[in-house]
Amino acid sequence: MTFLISLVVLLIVVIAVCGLALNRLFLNRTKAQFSVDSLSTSLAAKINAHDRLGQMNELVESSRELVFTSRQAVDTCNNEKKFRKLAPLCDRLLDDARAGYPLVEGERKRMNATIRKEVQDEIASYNKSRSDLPAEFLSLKTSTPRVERVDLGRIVNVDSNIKALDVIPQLYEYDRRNGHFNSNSKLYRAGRNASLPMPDGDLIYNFCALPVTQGKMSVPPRNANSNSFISLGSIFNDGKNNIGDTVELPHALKVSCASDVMFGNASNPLSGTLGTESVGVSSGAQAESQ
Amino acid sequence: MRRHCYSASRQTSAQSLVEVTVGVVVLIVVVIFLIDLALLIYAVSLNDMVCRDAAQQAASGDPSDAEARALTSIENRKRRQADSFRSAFRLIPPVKAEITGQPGVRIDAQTDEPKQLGGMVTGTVSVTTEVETQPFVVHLVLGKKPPLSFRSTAVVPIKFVRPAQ
Repeated sequence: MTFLISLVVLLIVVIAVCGLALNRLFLNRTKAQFSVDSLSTSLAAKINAHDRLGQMNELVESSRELVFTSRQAVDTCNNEKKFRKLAPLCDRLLDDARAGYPLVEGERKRMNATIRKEVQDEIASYNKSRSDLPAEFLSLKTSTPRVERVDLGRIVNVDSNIKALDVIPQLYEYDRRNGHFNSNSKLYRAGRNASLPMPDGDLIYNFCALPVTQGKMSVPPRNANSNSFISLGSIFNDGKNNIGDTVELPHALKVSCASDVMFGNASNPLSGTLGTESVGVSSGAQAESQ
Repeated sequence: MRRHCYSASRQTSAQSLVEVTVGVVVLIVVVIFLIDLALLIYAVSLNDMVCRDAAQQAASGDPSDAEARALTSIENRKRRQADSFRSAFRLIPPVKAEITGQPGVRIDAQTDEPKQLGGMVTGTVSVTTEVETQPFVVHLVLGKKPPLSFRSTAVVPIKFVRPAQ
């Protein structure tokens, strides 16, 4: 009888200890998710620092409109007799407008590289500063999460912050026919070439996805569901920075982290990895850019 | 002979009774201790969760109102909390908002008055919460006086874009 009761007590204690260890594992998983969520939000906040994405979209749209209106002026000069003597001036304006395109595109690429570099530096700093000492509870050790992979990208169904205006009716009509902007919101779509009609179709205009302001309120940086994330490329993988470039400017990122878990004695531990991922979205465009 | 057998049987029954009684007492103590320990761990994990929620709330808005939002979050949680007779949460002030960057001001050309520029506020908000719990027996094992208190701290990046004036 004594043996039976001792066995029951032992069984209860073992089950309780296993339960507590399992509970601790889930708790550590929740803590890791929380810290990865915070990390992804703070990294995402850097992407649109000082509304640089919103301003770049404005610049792209201005360059696009300038080329379109300059081409219109050239066509008018060529077609109408009374303006023919202004043709050299119009040609010069068009050349200048087209010459502005590589400058804008170059600045966009530089911004893309700067965003990559800033995020990569921040990841390196996080991985360096994180504590490698695992938290221990009933011989269950869990390390703090380390960044394994970071993808830059955008959120599905988010258009740019640029509104198609009917100030230039021909351009508005052309864009509407080609589906360059969302017919409901009138915002230019992101992730596609908003090309101009020929002969200026060789110029590639890419808008960056960015939430618009609601009145005077801008959208703050936040976390999003990972199913809504579209990757434009990885910038960090297996502890190394990836070299490369993306066509589109990103406005979100996905951070994948791993925590080492060990259970048992040091000589023969049961070990595994807890994976966590989080999507951070940058702040939206600001009212001043609008 | 019959008398001897009867006496031996009575002795065995008495021994079993004593063993069962002692065993059940030990079992009850062990079970109560484990339940108490589980409730304690539950209160600590709940405190962690309350702290994280409060920090998220505090970080989502103007940093000057961070403490008020954290308090509201904790009060809401308390209202939902069914076992508050066993444990009580409270905010440990102050809620620290460390601002690393924020939009400046411009002087209005017409009125000469300073006006707030819009833009993102960057930094972190740190919230600390404490839970006090009344254990039945765990404090005796730990050698502490009840109530036992546990603190949790959560640091969250600020999520706020200041609107322009």
